[in-house]
Amino acid sequence: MNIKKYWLLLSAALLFCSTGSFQMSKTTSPYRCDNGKVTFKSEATLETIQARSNKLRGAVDPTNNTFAWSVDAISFDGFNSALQREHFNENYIESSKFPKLTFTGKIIEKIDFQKDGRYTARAKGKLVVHGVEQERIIRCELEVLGDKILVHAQFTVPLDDHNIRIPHIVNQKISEEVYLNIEAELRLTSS
Amino acid sequence: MNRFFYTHLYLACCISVAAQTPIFLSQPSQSLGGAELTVVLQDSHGWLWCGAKKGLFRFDGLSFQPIGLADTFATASVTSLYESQGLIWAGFSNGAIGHVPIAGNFPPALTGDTETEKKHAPLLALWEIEEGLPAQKITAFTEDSSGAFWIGTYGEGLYVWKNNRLYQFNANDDGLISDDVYALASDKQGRVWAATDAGISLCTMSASGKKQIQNLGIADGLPDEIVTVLLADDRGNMWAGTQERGIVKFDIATLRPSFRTMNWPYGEVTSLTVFGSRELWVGTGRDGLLRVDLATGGVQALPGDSPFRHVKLHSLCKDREGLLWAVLDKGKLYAANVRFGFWQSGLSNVQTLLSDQKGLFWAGTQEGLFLQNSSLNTVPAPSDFKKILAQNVISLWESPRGEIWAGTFGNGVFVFDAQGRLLRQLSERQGLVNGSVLSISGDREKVWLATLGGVSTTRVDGKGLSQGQADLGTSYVYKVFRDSRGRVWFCTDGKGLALLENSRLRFFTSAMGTTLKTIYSITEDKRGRIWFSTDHEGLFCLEGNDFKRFTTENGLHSQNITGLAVDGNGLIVIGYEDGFDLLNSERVDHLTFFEAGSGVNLNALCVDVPGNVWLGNKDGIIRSAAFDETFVDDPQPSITAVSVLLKSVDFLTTHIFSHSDNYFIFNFAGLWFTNPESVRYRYKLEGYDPDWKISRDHLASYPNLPPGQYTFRVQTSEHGNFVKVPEDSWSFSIQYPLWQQWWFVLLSLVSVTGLILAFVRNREARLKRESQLKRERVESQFETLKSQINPHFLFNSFNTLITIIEENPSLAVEYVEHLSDFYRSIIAYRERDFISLQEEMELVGSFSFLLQKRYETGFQLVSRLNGTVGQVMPLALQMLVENAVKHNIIAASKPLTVEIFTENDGYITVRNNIQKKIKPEASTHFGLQSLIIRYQLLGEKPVIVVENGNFFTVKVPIKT
Repeated sequence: MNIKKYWLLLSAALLFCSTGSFQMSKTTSPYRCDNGKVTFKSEATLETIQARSNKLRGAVDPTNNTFAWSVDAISFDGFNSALQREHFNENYIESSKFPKLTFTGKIIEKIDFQKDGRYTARAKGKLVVHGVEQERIIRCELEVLGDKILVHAQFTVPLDDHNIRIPHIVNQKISEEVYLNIEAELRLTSS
Repeated sequence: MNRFFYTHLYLACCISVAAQTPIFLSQPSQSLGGAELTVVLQDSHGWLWCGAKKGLFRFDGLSFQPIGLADTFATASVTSLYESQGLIWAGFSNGAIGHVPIAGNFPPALTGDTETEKKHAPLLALWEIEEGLPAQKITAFTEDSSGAFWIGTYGEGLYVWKNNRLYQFNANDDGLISDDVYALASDKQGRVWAATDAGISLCTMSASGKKQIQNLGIADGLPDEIVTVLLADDRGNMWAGTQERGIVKFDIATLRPSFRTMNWPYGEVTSLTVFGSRELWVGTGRDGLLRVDLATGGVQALPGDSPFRHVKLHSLCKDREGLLWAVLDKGKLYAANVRFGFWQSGLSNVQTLLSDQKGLFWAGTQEGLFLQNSSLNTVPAPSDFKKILAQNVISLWESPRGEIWAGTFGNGVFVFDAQGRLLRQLSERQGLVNGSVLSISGDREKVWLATLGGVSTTRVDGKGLSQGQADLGTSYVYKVFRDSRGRVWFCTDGKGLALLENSRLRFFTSAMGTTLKTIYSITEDKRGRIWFSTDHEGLFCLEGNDFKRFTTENGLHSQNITGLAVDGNGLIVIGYEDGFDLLNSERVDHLTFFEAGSGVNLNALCVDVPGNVWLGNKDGIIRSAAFDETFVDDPQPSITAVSVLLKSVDFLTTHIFSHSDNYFIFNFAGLWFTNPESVRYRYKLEGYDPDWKISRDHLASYPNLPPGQYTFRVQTSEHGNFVKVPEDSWSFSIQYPLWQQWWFVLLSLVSVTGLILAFVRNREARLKRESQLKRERVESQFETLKSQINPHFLFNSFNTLITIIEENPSLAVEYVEHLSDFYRSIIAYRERDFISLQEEMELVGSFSFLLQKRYETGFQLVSRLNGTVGQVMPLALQMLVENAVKHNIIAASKPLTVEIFTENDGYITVRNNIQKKIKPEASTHFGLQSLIIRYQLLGEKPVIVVENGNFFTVKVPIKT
């Protein structure tokens, strides 16, 4: 309970420790990736639409536990038809107006990136889809392997949250909620 | 009646207790299996939920029922509990959150074996959300006015569950004052208060998801940054307990502190609970339980040697009965009734008590008259009393002028001003009828003094003392009482109750058939009813001219009543020599007994300004608090489980049972933590039981219930008088068996009728067919006979016979034998449906012999049966041969060949070459037609007739 009292002491100690190991640490530079996989899935009563992109770019900065992810809307491919892809880009995501889908923020849990292992972490940040920003907490699985991190996350995006309106007849073909699946391998970059 | 049996505890504690020490009762813990409790919460149904270092329990006052935990929870301890939407939410030290329904099926423990019980118990389910659960300790839950669910963590700030999405409030991004949250509370303006290590954050989240935070720190009136406890009362206040600077109360509307404790030597506040607007009870980290008097701000700790003085209190909870529950260090659960406590006043044998208009207490004992010398604390320490008169004081009265009149034993009356200065004395010398003044009462002008020698009256300024009510005689008057209508009542020894109204004295010497002789005490309730007690006839109530009497049969603890008073909530306090009863004057069947060591001295009761009743006895002063808050005063019945054929069923959703599910057991509980052992049940199965059954058991079983509609009703009472008591019920139906369902009976009737009809029709058809067959056969026989005794046939036969009779008599004999054989066979076979092929062929042989003798080489019969066996209709083949002869030319140059053969296809074939007569013989065509019909009627394969250019072929089925 006496956090207040020991705060000064504690922070001093922490500061000392962290500066002590600062030079040795590999966590000084961010982890990056530019070929992460995003799968998008909409399961409506009449049709299941799936599309993916291999152009997810991301960065995780272990020094302050922040991250940033971004993917170009037009990089999604693998729709059931070319027309569907066109609808996706023009009618729903409006790729020309809002070319990027992004998620930036902080990891809630403290993760020791110097230690290999699997972690479950929650990323809290701002998800921007269709130009509309929503605060989200997204649970992800992290695996630290040397200078690599494997990231896997699964979450839902309600289209309504992002002002994506589905015309009445089409709502049997496009679900109100789409599932996103992220898989990425980030590598330590030499800065 | 419910009782507090803590005489021994009382005796042990009363010597040293500080003011208002509640008596703690340890709760039965064997059913906990050694679990250390951490937090306690009462749900809206009345169950107590206890979180533990390992486990979660539901407590009914008698035993703890374990709740099953998923693996995620197994190693963590419960750190917070909350009720929302019919679920109990449990937060754990590892960040996990689970929930369990309050009113699920809680089958009783059958074995007493904790592991087995766990399998029966409802399960705490993990709260599974996409966002995942926190990783740090869950410290608190709350719900705001929009229905959003808030979760406090120690280390991760706040989370909000709103519109099925989890959001976070933290220090870095959102401006929360600190991420280390100790407590949460929501106010009526929709804000959530979060107590943290650095102050209080008032958080809101709008419907659009916009976060707003307002922080309160030292500058805003917080005495300490570290706020550990929050409590929102229902009077628009937020109480905050801090780590080392005590307690502060914020006005929710202005966010300004409206109360704070002055000096605080007691350490960290761990929990708070408030009773009405009067008292705050505080759990601390090292100083046990404290009481804060909210009128004065005075704080009292337990005495130094109390086992609850120097301990850590984890959790406090006020239940619906007004009991205070506390989880102490070491995880033990205690309950105390803080409405009832002892005042460590330093006084003993208190004979009379008075709380004056300023709230100061005056107490008369054998040693003298004592006056409380300060009103800083309404419940002061012993040193606060000072002796102002060394007399044996036995009665006290405050005049409307604020003067205090003290009656003594032997030395008359002493009158003091409000500060305790003696103004004057009235004694026998001034004309007082007797120096021992048992009771004093009066109004703005006149004072009545009840003495051992009768009643004296005087003016309120003390002048003009006179022998008052001479007509009362010289008998003792124990009590004189002026009621709200200005009437004066006298409780006499021997002459009953006397009433002085409009200067006329009236005696009540009997009521309800009971002779009234000695009356000890009298009081008036808020509705103007007069309550008075006798020496051993019990309690009477006079409303208008109607008496009501209460005795031990109505639940009175005893009929020897030593005093009466009415508290601020309208409860009648009835003093005895060993305790006191609280009688609900609106529900006069309802009593609650409190055992109190040396009982209550005669008429040593007084009511203070807020309405608390104070009772004087040999050991000092007892308080019976009347908080401005209502409590449940009945056990609350609750059906906890239903089992059918010894298997528990989900009775919340299942209400219809099949006829074979007819063995029901109902489990129920009566939640009455005040005295769980005293609960009596009264139950009735509507639709089965004609009358209520009264029992102490927690279950009722009904083997072999017939089909029908039922409602199981259970009521609870703690004194056995089931009048206006609460009830729980459950309705269900047992269906009639299939064969008693109306639709099944109808269906059966319809099908049976149908079957009979079908049978009848079938039989008719069969009979019809049979009769047709019979007719056909008769006709056939007739035709056959007719054709065989056809004159042509006989004429031809006899012609043939004539030609051979002379040249070859032996052949003629043979010929006649064959002819006669032929006719005998026709007669022998005509009644039979079938004859064997062999018999038929013999017949055909005879017939053929006759024909051959007539036509010689013009007719040939070839039979190739190859030993085929079977049956045909009699004369079938003969008729076909005869037909062939009848319709064809027979001549030596054009011989007619009739072949009879089988082709192993189930038929016997009769074939002849066609050489039709130019002039056909007259024919009825009956023979072949009749054969075909007869075979049809008997349900055999059909007869096949084929005629092509050369051959006429008939195939007759062989019956095997």
